Amino acid sequence: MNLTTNIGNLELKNPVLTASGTFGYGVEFADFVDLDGLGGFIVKGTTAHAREGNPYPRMAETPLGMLNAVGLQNKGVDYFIEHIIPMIGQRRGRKPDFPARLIVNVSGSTVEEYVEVAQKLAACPEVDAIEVNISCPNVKQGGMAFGTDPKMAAQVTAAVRAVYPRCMIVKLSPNVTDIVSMALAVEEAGADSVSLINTLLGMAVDVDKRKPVLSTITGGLSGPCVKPVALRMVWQVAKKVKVPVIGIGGICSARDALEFLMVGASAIEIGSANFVDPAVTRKVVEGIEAYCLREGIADIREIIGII
Amino acid sequence: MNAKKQIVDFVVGRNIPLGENFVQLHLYSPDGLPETKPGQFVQIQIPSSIHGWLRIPISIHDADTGKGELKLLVQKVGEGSRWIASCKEGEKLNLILPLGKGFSWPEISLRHEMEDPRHANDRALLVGGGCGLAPLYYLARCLKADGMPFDILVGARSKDRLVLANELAQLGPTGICTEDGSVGIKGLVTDHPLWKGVAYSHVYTCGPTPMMKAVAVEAKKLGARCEVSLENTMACGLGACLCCVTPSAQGHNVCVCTEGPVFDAEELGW
Repeated sequence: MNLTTNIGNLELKNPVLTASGTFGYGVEFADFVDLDGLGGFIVKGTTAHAREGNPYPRMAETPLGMLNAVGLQNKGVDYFIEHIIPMIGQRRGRKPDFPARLIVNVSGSTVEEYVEVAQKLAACPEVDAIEVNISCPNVKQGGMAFGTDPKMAAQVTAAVRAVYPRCMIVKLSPNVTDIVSMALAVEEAGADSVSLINTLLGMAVDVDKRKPVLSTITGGLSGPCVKPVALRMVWQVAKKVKVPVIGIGGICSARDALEFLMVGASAIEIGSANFVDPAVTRKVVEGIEAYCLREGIADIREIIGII
Repeated sequence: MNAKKQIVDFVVGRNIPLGENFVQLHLYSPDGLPETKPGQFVQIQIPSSIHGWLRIPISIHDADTGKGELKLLVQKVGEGSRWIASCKEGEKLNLILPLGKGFSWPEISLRHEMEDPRHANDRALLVGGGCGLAPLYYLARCLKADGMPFDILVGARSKDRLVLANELAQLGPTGICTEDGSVGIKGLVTDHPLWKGVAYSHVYTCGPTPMMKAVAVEAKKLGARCEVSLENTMACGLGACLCCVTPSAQGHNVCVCTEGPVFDAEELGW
């Protein structure tokens, strides 16, 4: 049975990836999951300079989901290259025949910042692809602003395209009226793939304190509660773009993953479910295999986009 | 180096109600359990519902690795912890453990080192309230086994809110403070005369944040090393989501779940 799938010119051993910000740098999960059993793992949003992120509280549990307002806390791209890439390499141990792809989520407040990060990562052979995050709802400047205006989205995409020669995924925000026009704009500007959806902008109130739960008032909603919205958007986008689509949003099981594949996703990312079951990614890979075996599917591509 | 983190199914051996708000759960795992340290915690899976979905972090109240036994003190706070507190004998609980960094071991923990005159007067004070007493019980048991002398201070709003006081008194000298004076000294834990009488070298505290901050101030006056155990809201417990951060003394956000939950009070920017 063949589970390999392609994101542009990047071949994945299976369609299971991890969503940025929910899987750390992978090493945090190495006690539970053989990292190289995954299609790839997408590590935390990385910016040009270190960011402390937003003040605590940054998380609110909501019905079958959660709001977060982390705000891209990270130590910056130079630290990532100098310290974290070697640490990831150590935890992966023996060199497998078909390693999981290391994909770095690239974030910024200005076009120049995206370009600086992408340019530095382009020089790292360990980084197989980047995911350009134009959809973070938790930073004051940039982030989602780039992801809600097709012209700005295209501008960032084209600028990063000019400095990053390998596979470039652009991560889209669901906080728009027409996500298809966003996807078409970044495809036109040179993206090899689009991933969607990032979190939905939301809010929670503590009625005892009569205050918002999050320090930032609003935050990004994720978890099983967003899955139907995500699925609908992936289906709409996959019908219109030519580049491969990566489906994200509330995936907790192999059946959830298969839903996204059937509506047109070439790969999927597992996000908040990693918090509930740190071994969920491995179980989803196994579950997809079991489904294909049972249904007599020889190649996972047979079911991608059948709806 | 901490033990490898594991996802383990435990069986509830006993569920002992302690007053209206707490239960003590005795769990065992036929497969054994990894080495744990006082101050470390577990993440408990709850059934997904509209009330809750993420795991519930609870500190380790006691552990016996050899026997595969683990005790937890569960405070009924939200729907998730109420569900855990309602688990009956024979039911299964899925835990991730051991998580976080526990209390640091006193340098003078071994009896022969106590004979070193530099450490002859060393003595620890354990101060806690509510479910904060759970990890302090585990710590007290380990300190006692190592021959480290210590006192315990328990704080509560009133007598009927006291928890674990009798169990702690069996491990070492235990002082009680209640805000209404219904038992022990009337006042806060920092009002107890022990603070005036003994030159503690180590202070360990877990409980409500205002209490821990006040304890840290008193510990500093004594020149004691003070360790505090934080209870920030968290999602993953693995250092991946960065939801549970607290500012360090240098102003950097650090993860409570992996850099803590136990911190040297001097390292924190609270």
